[in-house]
Amino acid sequence: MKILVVDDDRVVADLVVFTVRRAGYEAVMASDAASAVRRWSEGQPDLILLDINLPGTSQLEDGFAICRHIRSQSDVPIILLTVRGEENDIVRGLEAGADDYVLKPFSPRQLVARIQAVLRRGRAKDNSHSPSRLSVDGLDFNTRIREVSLSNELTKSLTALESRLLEYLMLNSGQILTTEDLISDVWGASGGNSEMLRQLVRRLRAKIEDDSSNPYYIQNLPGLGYAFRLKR
Amino acid sequence: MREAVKDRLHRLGSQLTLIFLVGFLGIGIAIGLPVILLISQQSSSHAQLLLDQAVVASRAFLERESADLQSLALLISQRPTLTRLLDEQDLSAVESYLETLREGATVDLILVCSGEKEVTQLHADQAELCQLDSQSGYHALASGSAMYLYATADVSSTGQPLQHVLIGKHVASILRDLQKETGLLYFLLSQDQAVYASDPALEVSPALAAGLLQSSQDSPNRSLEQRSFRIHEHRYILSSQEITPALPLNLISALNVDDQIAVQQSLSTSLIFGLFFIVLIASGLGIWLSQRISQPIVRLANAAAEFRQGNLDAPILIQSPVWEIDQLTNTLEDGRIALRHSLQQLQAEKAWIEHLLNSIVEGMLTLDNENRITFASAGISKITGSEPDQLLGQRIDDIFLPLEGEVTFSSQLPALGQQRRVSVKLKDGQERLLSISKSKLIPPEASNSNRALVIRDVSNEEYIHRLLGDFMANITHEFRTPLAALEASSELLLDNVHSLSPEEIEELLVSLNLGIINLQTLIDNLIEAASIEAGRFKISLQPVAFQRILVEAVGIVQPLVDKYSLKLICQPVEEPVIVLADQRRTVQALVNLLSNAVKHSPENGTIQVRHAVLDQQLRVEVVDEGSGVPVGQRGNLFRRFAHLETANERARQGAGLGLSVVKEIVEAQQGEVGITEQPEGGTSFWFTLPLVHERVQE
Repeated sequence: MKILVVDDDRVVADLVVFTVRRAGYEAVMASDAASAVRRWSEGQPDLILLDINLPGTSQLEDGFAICRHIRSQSDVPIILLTVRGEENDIVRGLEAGADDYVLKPFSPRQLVARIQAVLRRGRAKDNSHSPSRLSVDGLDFNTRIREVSLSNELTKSLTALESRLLEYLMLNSGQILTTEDLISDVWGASGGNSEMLRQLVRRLRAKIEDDSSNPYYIQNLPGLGYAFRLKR
Repeated sequence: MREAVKDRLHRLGSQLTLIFLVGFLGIGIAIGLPVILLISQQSSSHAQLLLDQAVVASRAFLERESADLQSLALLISQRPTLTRLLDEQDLSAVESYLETLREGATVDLILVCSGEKEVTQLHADQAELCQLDSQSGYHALASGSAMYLYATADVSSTGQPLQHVLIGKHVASILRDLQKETGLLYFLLSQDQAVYASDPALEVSPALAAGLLQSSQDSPNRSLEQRSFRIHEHRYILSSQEITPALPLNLISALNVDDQIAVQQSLSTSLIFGLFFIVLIASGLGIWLSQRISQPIVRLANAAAEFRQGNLDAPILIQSPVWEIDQLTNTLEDGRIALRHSLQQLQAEKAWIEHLLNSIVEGMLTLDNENRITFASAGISKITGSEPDQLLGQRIDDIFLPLEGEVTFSSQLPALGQQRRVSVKLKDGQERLLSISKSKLIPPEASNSNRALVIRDVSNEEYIHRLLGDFMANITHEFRTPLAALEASSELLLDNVHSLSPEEIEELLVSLNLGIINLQTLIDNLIEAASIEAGRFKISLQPVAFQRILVEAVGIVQPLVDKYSLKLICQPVEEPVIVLADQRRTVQALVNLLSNAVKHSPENGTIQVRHAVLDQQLRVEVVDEGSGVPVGQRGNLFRRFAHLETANERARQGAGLGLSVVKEIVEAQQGEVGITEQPEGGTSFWFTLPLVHERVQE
């Protein structure tokens, strides 16, 4: 297992490398946007730990841009490891296609747990016998290529987190899913909170609902959780 | 038109004139009419009196005439000559005698009758007179040719019985005599037929006779004019009397009243003219008087109207002969002066309040029910860029436009007594953040303003606020990186204390140390920045060897340089150079520059520290091989709170506190800072320190 560590602060980068190596992974380091993209394409790492504040280039000015760039070409799991903990930044990161978000200062123990959770989810998806196509009520979802086809013939591609949320909802359509269930399935035991879920639901609705202020598929049940086409 | 007339009639002058006119006319009539009536009555009764007297006189005249005739008849009858002649029956002698007598006695006839026969033949055609029974009276001849007043007397002759003398006088001549005597005109009427008129020139027709008789019956109470009877262009009043019971004879006395009527008429006319003249004069007087009274009042009314128009400057100078009007004028003038004084005070206060309002930075405006601006202070003009006058009457929503997707400004207003921030767009497209507080107005009577808004443009405050927020966020971010090193390395050490190799332990301890150094540098910079910001920044300058500063700074930065696998080359200090500086702070400045160079150096790069003595100054420079700073942004680099305007978040963060602290420290030591692009690539950050010539012995 190879992990790409992207951070311009050499002290922190060395500590992250130290941590992942002790956890038994191979580590590759990059300190700016250009080298990060180069190392990713050369080394094909299994996971990327990505800082946001980086010396960038004109095309890739920061970590978000790198994340979007890589995500457009690969499913490789990306964990953002950054000092920027404002909700706005977290939302931007997740929208850029990151799978998880870890805030500095971090606990090496937790970082390893998050890395393992993200990797496990990726593996689970690859190995699972879950159907590659889900279809409920006019909505077709191809989980392999993370693409939904709407009733109006439009197709939209989803981010990893959106895809995970939609898959879980569709597999359990007609049932109420608690917020805790959803968070643990999407982010794993260690990450995510109800605010992040709310943001994720909002983004997913914007992609699949005709009118996201009056949603047809994903219903919110205050105090209980969410449901996909709940049977009443 | 009718309104104008009505309006004129309501004027005091017209009313007074009218009152005077009516009053004097009334007085004239009240005095004049009775006078005219009295005069007419007086002259009427006077005429009547004259007439009555004339009537009495005429009766007496007639009676006297009759008595004279009787006496004469008696006298003649007793004449001895006549008796003798009769006795002699010498008729021709009698006749001549009688003729002589008649001529002497001025009578019209003298007869001597014997029985019913005339003795003589002097008046044979009148012999019927001898048949009359009574001794005296009037008799009209059967032929109608004449009428006589007659009287008889028996002749006491000797032998001849029953002989009597009859004397007759022609009534017409009696009437003539009567007219001569009294001056009146007389008519004798018998059974509505005119017999004689005293004036033989008058033709008395039966119609005239009937008129005479009827007019003579008129009541003497009627006015002369009314009862006067017109005979041949003259006017008369008439009275009728029966002159003898034996015959139906009426004597009509006619008094000429032409003069009286003329006098009466001329009197009435002159009275009326006199009255008219008096009324005319009185009216003129009245008009003049009423003008004199009403003119000042009219001017007072005009002055009061000026008051109402708000013109209080013209003094009220009205002279009036009326004391009350004078008093009113004085009171009004006093009122005007007091009012003008109050008004001036009010205006001064208003100007003062407006001045106050306009000197307040916050803009104030008031709104009516339809959100139209009824007042705007100068503060509002500063925000909107329009003059207050141009804003009046405009809808507030046309001045402050909503941002895209927002509702109108008026529906974003805060509740009463509350404050709220609203983003708006001005007409010129600029966006502004306004802090608005609203209060309720009890509208003054003349206005329907019901809300007041106090508006403050907080765009700049908000900008500074955001800048400060950004700064705080950046500082927090900067703290998180060294803290991450501390937390990670200490946790790794603790968790794996037994399984780590000594090299690994050393590596982690170096990281721990570097984290602490970075944190220390950051905290030092923050403290300096805070003391600079608070104005408490002080330095203590002392001569110090530059080498000590260099060694200390390099000692702090070296682990960082090693960590980044960079090369740090210091120009050796060949002989001691003493500078006047605050050692601790100068070290801090140099560390900041070196840290900055480390962060911006490429992998395996080199950092050089050079120094040179230049004109009493030591110039120290830190040269890295980084990509450099765009020319336009170099000035900003040393500014506190300033950011490099790049999209790169890292660049923003990196330009934080360090360089601004360098600048403050160097400038406090009378030095300069700067940035120079190296011809061979890379950037040089430099500063100068004042030299001390005196060599300090170490």
